[in-house]
Amino acid sequence: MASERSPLLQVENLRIAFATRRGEVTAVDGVSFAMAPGEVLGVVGESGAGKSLTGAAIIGLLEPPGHIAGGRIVLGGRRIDNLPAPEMRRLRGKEIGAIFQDPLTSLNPLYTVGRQLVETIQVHLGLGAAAARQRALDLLKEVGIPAADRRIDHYPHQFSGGMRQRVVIALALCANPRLIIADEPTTALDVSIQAQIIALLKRLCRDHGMAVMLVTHDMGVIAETADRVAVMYAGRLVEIGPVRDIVRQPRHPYTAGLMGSIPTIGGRRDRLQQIDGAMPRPGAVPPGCAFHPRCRERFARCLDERPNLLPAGGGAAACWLHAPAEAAAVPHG
Amino acid sequence: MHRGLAAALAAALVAFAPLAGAKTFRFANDGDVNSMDPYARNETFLLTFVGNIYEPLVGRDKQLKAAPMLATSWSQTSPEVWRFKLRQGVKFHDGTPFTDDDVLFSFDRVRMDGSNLKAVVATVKRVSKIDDYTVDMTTDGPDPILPEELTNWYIMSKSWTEKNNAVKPADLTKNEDFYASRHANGTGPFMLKDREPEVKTTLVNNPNWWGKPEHNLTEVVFTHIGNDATRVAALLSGEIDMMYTVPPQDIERIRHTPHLKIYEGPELRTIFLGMDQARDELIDSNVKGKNPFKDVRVRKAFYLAIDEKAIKDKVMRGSATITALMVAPGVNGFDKSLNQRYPYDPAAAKKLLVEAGYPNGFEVGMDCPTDRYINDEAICQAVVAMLSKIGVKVNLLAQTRSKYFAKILGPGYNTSFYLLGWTPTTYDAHNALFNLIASRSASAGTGLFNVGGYSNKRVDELTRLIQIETDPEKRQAEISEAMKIHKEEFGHIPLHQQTVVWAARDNIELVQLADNFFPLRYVRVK
Amino acid sequence: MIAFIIRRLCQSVAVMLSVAFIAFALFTYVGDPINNIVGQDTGLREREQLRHQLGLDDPFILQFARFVGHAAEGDFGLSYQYARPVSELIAERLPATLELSLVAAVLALAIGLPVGIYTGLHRYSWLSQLMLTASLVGISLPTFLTCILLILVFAVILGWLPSFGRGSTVALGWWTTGFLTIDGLKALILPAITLGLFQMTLIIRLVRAEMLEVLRTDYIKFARARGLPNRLIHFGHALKNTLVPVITITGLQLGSIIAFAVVTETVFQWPGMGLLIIQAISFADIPVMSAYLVLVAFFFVVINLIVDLLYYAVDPRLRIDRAAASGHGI
Repeated sequence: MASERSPLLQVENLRIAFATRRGEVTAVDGVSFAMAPGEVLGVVGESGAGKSLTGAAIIGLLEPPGHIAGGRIVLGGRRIDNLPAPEMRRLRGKEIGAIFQDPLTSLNPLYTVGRQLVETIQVHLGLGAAAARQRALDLLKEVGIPAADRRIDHYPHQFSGGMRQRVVIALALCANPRLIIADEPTTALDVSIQAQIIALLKRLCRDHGMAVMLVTHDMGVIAETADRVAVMYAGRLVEIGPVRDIVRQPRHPYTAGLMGSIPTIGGRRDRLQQIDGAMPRPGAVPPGCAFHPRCRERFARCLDERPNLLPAGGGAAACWLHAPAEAAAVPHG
Repeated sequence: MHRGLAAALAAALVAFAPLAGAKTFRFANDGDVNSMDPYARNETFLLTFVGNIYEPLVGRDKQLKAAPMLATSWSQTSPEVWRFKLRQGVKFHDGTPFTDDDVLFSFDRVRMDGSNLKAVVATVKRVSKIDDYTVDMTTDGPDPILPEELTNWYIMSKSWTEKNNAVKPADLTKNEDFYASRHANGTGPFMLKDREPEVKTTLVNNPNWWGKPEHNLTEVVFTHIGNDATRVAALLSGEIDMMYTVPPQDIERIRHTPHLKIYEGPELRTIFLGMDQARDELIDSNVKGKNPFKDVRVRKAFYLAIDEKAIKDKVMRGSATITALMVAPGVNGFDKSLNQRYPYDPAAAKKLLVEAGYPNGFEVGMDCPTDRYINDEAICQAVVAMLSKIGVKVNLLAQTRSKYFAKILGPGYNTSFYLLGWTPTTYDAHNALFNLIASRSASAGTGLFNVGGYSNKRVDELTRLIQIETDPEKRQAEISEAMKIHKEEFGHIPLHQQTVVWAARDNIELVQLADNFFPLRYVRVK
Repeated sequence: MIAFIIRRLCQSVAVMLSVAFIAFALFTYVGDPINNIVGQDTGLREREQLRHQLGLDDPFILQFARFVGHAAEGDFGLSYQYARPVSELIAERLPATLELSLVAAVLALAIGLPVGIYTGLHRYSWLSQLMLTASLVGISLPTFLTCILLILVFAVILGWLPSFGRGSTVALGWWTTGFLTIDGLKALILPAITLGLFQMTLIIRLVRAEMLEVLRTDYIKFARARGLPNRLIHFGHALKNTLVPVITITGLQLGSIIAFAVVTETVFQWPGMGLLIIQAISFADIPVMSAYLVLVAFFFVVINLIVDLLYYAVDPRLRIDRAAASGHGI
């Protein structure tokens, strides 16, 4: 998982926990990965696997009572997981942009899209009103809004779903961030629109040199878009590697099951039917490998010893199947 | 500083500084004065308030005896003629002199449509001028108590009403503002300075009053405060100097508050129960084909079953005077020797019901006002409970006074059993006999408020005799005889006289009258 | 827009006619005003004569028609109680009620909005908990009890504020105002607090609930993700979105403040319309009661109209005709 270029984002041993009445419940546990500038990393997993939480942790928007309970997040060499709120706030939108799942609800219905763009631009870039509006207009054009100079003064409800997601993307682009967290950006959209939005994201990523962390449960989208894939299960990273390798030859039994259910863009998006049972809830994760109760290839070690990421193929997988025999009990270094 | 300006400032300072000896008296009542027109309504509070501004020919002194006001003396020159000598040198507040023309004018005005005091001069046929300061009143038949009947008839200025288009009393059918309901011009010890209905009414001392003032007030501010708690609070906080009506539950508290004082005395109003004795079948009862109240034993049973002492102690919290008569002490004709109630005796009452043929009692409806007399509804509820002990089931219908009166009063008299209160406006027992006890007769004008239709020929005859009897002793004997008959026949069930309760700061001197009149001319601020 | 207002006005007239009709029908059951007008000694003949003069013996429909005809000209007849034109009585009382209601409403909003926002934003802070508990007390105390408690504390015990009345007023034409004198302002405080208290707690709870609701929405999350400062998010984005329901409720509450100032006015002897109507009811003063009801209906109608117009100002989704909107859609 080494990258030749210095990484843009490093997530090290990230643990996210929720304070509940019955004590802390760990929802994301020991997640480590890195992203290179301009790279598209797909993060995939079932709902509740912790992928959205990981994204929210990076952008500093974990909702209480959720909080970062361990590990580090480093953006461009600067540790950001422990920044004071105002500094983190300045980082958001400027260094890290975000796109959420539902474009219908991501925009404030009472303000024109122009106003929402302009306020974002002014907060981060300190431009005057006219310059900010010009940039807003440029952004709208760039994301492919027709008649942008007229549409800029329209309200969100006057746009269709796909157009609104374009506006959302424009908003994420306002300050030219280096990283965009895109959380299920196409899930709520009409099938025919999904491909357009994915294409737009890819183009912008290329044009602006932005890295995109694409969170989705849709392997199809990842296969089309991402450079690398990270697979999450029960709050843990189970496999990470180049998209081609993983699609062709998944190393983790869970990934393999996931691949068995790849829907193509425009096709069905079924739940994982190939694997019996369900993902454990946070706080009820079994000891050893979290996946072992559902795994067809489990053996004794999987039941009481938790696997770390082990090199496997072009990437790494957290599965004892890939343990070198001689270093079986030694933690991965 | 400019000299003129300095002088003006000094003058202003003087004007704002309290004048030495300036005494402002602030008081509140639970009702407002609805009008300044003295003929607008026959209502105690209006009459007592306006009576500070306007004056009658014959007034009342502190003992409620007839006393000279605008008339200095009066006498009967013949059985049907009363002669009044008028006070000379009296001026209305606008400076015009008071003469017998004003008396003649006021006589005409009080009898016009829109006047509510027609009844006070009902027996007067004619008023005639003898000289500038003497008038004769000719009555329709002898009227021995005419001066007593005239005490609420205030004299208005002929020239002032004519000038201000107020000759006729306010006509409710015409949509126009009415001058005399907001302005006043009398001869009394106080003059109307400012009137803001519902907010406050301000009176000032009349320096040219004909009498020698007993009061030391320069200004009187009256405020209407309808809410009991607020009215008490205003007195406690010192925003007002005096107030009435005092809520019964606050009497003890005020009594024990430093610098506050409670004034208590029996009122002239008598509260009583009445029963329908006129119909052959009650309109509201399970007894069909006959009227149980026609049987004197049933009426007596009701009387004996009611524990008036308990009503006085529990419902009225002691603020009542138990009565056996339909008139109060202080009313002319009141006979103390008759004022003994038959004792409370539910066992005897039960026995009487059995004798009358109602061993299991019966059901009857009762009408009661909720906002007319002190604790009216609570009294009725107590009566209901007491009667249930002798097997009579009373279905109480307690309503606001306008609905209540519309139901029980004539011409319908739609009630079987009711509670009512009465103050003889002439302060004479004849008024109660005439209105409440004598048989209902449209031609004689009697018994208009004899809601139960009690009827006794001898009482009717006595009522006629009392009206014209000029010998006080004979008249008293006749009144006592009528009262005795009515008492023994249980024509009504008298309960009590309400207590007049006032509260004031202890630096106020005042005179409390049994008719609940509050003349400001007796008030002193120390 | 214009069509909307005209439609609304027509509905309003219908509403007011029905209110007038219902009111009038009800009033035939409040009792017989004659007994209140005349004294106890007045004879039957005089009573009947007065009843006839006042038209009280006419058929109901005739009385109603007469009433509507006159009311349309602003003529509500003569008060039985005061023997004065009702329109004049109301004009005299209106300023007192409107000033009181206005101050109460401003008070309710000025305290209710910020507290509601604060408790919505800082839902776990002890100050929020305290304010919410206090507001619970405010909402559950009956008005007359609040009145009495306030009077007891501030008038009787402390002696700072008057317990009744309106203080001295200044006449500006026919309008009398208590805003221009010290004791007029002092007299306003207790009644306005009493009257505004319930509305204030209502606004606090409403704004808080709406605020919590809005803060959970995606566009607020997205606004945070865009790095907007909290101030802009809370007071620009969140607050504006809470306004629509708040405007509705506040508007209706303002109507109720005016309509239900009755209790407060009675306790504080505030010379407004509430006091007038209470006296009119116990007096069966039908002209005053009818006029009051029609007037209150009128207030409600006007306030509703204003509320609708405010919606238009606040929410762009209502401003756009459907046809135009779909035309822009892709």
